[in-house]
Amino acid sequence: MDAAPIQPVEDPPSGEASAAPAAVHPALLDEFWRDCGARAWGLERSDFDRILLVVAMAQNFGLASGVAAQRKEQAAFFHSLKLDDLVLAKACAVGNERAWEHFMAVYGQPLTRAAIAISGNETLGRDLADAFYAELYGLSTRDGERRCPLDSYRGRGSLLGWLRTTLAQRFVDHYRRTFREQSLDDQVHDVAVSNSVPSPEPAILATLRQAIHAALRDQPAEEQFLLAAYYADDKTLAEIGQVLHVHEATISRRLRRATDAVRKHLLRNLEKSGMSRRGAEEALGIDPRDLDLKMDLRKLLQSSVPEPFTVQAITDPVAAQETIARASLSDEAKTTG
Amino acid sequence: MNPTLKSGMHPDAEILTAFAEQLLPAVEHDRILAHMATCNRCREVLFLAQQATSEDQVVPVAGSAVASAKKRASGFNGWRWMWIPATAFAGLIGVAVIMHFRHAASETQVTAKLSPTDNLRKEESVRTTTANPPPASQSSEALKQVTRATPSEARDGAVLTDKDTAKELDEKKSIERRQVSVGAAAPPMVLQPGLPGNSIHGMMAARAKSAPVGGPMAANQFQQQSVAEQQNALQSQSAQFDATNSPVIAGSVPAAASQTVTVQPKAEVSAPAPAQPAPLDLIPMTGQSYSLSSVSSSAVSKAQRISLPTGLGTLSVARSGGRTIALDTAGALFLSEDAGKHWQPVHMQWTGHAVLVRTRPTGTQTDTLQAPQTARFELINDNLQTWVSSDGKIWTLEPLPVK
Repeated sequence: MDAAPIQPVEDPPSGEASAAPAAVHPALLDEFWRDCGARAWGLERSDFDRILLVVAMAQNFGLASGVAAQRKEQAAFFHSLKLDDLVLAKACAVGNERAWEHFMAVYGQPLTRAAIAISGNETLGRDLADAFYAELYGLSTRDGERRCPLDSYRGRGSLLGWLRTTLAQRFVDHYRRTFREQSLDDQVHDVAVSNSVPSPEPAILATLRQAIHAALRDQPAEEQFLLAAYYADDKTLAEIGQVLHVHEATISRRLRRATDAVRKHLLRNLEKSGMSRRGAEEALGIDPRDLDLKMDLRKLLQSSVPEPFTVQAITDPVAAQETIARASLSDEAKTTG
Repeated sequence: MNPTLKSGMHPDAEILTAFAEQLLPAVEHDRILAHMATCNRCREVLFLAQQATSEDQVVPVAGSAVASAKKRASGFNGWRWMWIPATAFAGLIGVAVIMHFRHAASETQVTAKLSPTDNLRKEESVRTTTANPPPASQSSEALKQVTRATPSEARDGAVLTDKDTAKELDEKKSIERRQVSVGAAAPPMVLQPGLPGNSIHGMMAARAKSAPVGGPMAANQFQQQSVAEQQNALQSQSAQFDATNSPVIAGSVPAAASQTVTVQPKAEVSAPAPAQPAPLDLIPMTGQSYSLSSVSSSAVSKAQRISLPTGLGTLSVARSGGRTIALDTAGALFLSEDAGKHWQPVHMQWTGHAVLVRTRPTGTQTDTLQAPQTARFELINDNLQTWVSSDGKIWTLEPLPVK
């Protein structure tokens, strides 16, 4: 836990003596202490003040470093957080036993259900949940220091959502680490299938690959996300709609619009590269397996070390290529019947 | 800048969570989206976390669905018992509406038909009738010729078990009262014999017609007195109409028939009274005077509510069975077979200008004491000629009664 800057208390709150320094306005601390449910599960007021101070100092109330936050800004910062969840997480992170009891009472069952839902298997889910409990409890250490993932929670989203997302991350990372242990039968089969189809000319494939890159870059982020989620991840319209909080009919319309836009961009890019209109349309009918995207995708999935996501948008064209290729082929199949 | 978004790293779990929960600022959201467009690892993490969220929400969602269903059911159960007060309330409203119309009809008829002196007579009649009940020797035939003063009296005196029948009877009576004023042969009003509540006119007329009480001389005397009184009242009300335009059939008898005395046509009177009342054709009465003086306000209001295809006002209405005929102010006749919802014009088969339509029960007087089910329509023109029809479509001229 970060050390809180100790400052003299200017106006100690009435009632319990506050251990919080004056970096956080005492009236705000009183207000949050009244509104927070931490007292119900036995948190001391001094611990509460200290937790708020640590959170505020770590993010400087959401302001740029060096800027002094006024009371209004402090209040706005704390009101933007899930304060109850944040206090509970911080109390658990520092090893408060009563906080842990409350945490397990509230989040124990939901966390197990989430692990089962994520893994798709009860045994795997319980194993995943148990491992995560151990991790949360701080059994892992680094450099001799106990580490608790809850310490990284900053209260921007709900604690239960954070727990589910963290579980999903653990599951995906575990899958990526263990994916190379899978049998190679499927890969051999896929390779055999791809070899059974005559390959088009390499020049056309290179041109098509570049055109797909360009078409992808021209698309807005949301359209790219829709195309990737629908064509590459095989997610349903309803699943995408739940993530983006829109109706699946809206997702469908946006997908059709994005597919049409990608197709137009592809044709235009292919024509710019010297292809005729008819040749460009024929190039869109190439089997995406000829673009050798599958193997690149497998390599990506087997990578356990995530690439920097700001660079990944440029250096990870494989998934995007497959996405666009699938979208184009799907659209081509629709047009050709 | 978020430290986890430094170059070279995937966005951490908290950023992905905030992205999934739509808590990121727009700029940061777009950056994460751009990263995930090309990073299938982060996409996979995001979709897995979202899948866990969705599956974890299945249980509470199902529980909440059951709870909401129970809530809806409980709410419906609460409303289920509302049909009892709702039915009672609807019943009260229905009774109130029926009572309102009946009360309004009776009040308007009393107001229109009775002058202040008539009201006094009515009270006197009640007292007299109570003090001197009609003798048992007075036959029902004598009382048949006595008309009720008001429908309220009819309710008091007549035994009308069926409300609808009573209402229909009131309407028929109001129309028939109009017919009396015109001077045509008016059918007798149906009245239960031997019951109090009749006007003094009626009582006197009944006694006059019965031989033991007064005999024909008394009947004639009373009738002339009654007609004279009524004529005075009518003349004061219909001063704007020119009485000279009305054809006078026989000038020996003053115009206007009494409201309370039904002048029986000679052919229909079955009473054994030796003295017959004056024939109808001797009573000079005009259609104009009828139109203002004899029509009850309820009948007028009902006639005004009828909208005929010509758009003109309704002059006269008659009903029989399921048929209704109406005469507009231009003299055109219309027939309706659906209680006035649709009207069809009737070809003119009469001469002159039609001024009145009415129903006349067929059969004997005894039959009319019971609810007259069959009746025929009559149409009277400005020459006081009468055309009759059984269906309202085909009209034939009825010969004048033999004098």
